[in-house]
Amino acid sequence: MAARASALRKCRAVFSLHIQDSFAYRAQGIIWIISDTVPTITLPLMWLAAFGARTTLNGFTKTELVAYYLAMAVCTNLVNAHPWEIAHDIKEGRLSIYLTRPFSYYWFIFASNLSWRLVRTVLFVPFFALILIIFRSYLVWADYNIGADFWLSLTLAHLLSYQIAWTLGLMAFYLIEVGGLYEFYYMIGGFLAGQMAPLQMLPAAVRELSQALPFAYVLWFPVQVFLGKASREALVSGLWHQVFWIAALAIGAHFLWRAGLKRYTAVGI
Amino acid sequence: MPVILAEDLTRVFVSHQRKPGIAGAAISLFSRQKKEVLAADRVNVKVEAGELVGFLGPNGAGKTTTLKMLSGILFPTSGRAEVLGFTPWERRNGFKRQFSLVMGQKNQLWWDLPAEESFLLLKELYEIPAPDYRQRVKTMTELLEIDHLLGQQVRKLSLGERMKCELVAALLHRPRVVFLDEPTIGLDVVSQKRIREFISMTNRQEGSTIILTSHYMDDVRALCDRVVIIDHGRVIFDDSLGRLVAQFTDTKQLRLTFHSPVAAGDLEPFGRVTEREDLSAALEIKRDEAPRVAAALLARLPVMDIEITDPDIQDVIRDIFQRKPDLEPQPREGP
Repeated sequence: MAARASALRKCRAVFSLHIQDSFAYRAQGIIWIISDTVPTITLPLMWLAAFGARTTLNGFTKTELVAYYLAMAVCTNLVNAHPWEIAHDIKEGRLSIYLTRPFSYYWFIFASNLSWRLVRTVLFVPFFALILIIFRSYLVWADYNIGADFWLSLTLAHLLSYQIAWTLGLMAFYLIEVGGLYEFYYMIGGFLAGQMAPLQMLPAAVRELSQALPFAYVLWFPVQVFLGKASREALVSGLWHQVFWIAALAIGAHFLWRAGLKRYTAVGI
Repeated sequence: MPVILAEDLTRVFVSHQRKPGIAGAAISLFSRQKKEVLAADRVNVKVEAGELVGFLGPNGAGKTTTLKMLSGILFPTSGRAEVLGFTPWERRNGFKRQFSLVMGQKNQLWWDLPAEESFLLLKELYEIPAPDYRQRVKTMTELLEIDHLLGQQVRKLSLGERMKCELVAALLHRPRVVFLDEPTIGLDVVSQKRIREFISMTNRQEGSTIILTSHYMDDVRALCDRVVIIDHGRVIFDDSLGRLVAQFTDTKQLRLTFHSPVAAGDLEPFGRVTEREDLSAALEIKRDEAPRVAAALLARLPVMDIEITDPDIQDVIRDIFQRKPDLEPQPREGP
């Protein structure tokens, strides 16, 4: 119990230090946010044009479609973890310093990622306001779900995204060049997570692939829950899939980490 | 029981070699040549509590690899190590709370934040009680004269100031074992001296066991009673600095002053002339011949003064590092 309390204290200390550190990179963060904001504006505009005279498209009304992208943008800020920092630490030998600390590197990066997600979300607020203004004629507060089930799906999505990033990051122990892998992950992972288009709009095979892999449960699923488009069964199944993938990746990453440390050469220092 | 113990500690690095150019890259897709490098080769070291030991060796000799294994950062290929009773690479928290690693070429502080923020984080990570922490920061920063810099962004500090902050950060939790890898590298003479004093004080007052690597002989001379020389991954010497000279050189320096000018030809039969002016000269002679040669010189030349000295430590070490072929390590006797 005492050990857990002290681990929490340590996590909080890492978290608050990184909040400050993140603000040192606010200019950089704003540039990234702008590059994320552009598709949030252009993609719905494209779909709205595609509606033509129809009122629904693959089960989406215009309002729902706009809401999908807006929810996607917010969730992306809160959820999407990146493997880069971990890979850099391994490649450049910075991991060595963390290995000497009486606090696990896994939780260090977890707390640092969480703080960066929150800072990004705060920095996103003005851009979000701009997006709201652009799409104001489509905004209707329907029965969007911000109940406990949504927050649970969002929390699990955050953990799942982190677990994917952690696992991919550990690949840096094994691969000489990880850049290509991550580009592939950002493109394909983002696509399969429904960042470009709701999975309903995609061919059935792609949707099935996404749901067979963890990607659908990173962004598309919590957004579905928010839009109220997840049935009771879909909700339960989605949550279980999240838990399953978090556990499966955690087990895989455990072995990657242990074997990786044996290969680790601590270059650069 | 020794605080630090390494037994046959060995680490092999495997690197893949390829020929240069596009053809080389293409070939490397199908067959890569493996090259194994023995970074540490059966290193045996034993350090008792409170010792301050210097690791010396040329770049790539295996000093840092050994330190990294003792810190638990690297797994050894074979061999055994124990630090404070722990196997370092098991990385138990009990071990990590009691040791510290400082790397002169690596920044452990958060670059974009004031040093104090990093200290505060370490306070939590190492569970240092608040009063102890405050007192510790105050004493150390005053000693190093950096107490006025704690609120400044680390990136804006000079190298010397930053290194001092790194030292404070590393010693906050009163580690019983400290590994210092090139702590004075690139610093000006004044900062070097201050850091040296600080390290010496930490060793004496807190009784911490310290292993230090450095390229600067001044560091070693000022701090280390004992030096371990590592070359090609192997420990080739482990004793006091004084013994180093005896073990690696079989020569003595003879400095002579004369009443009247002496020609070069008169000196050459006695030994190798390393310096010569009209009224003075220096000769290098075999150690065991020193008394005989000195007596002969006194008898045959107008010698006013004669001085027999050991070669300079700096020169000896340089010779070892340059791998003079005639300098073979001699087996060490006794414990």
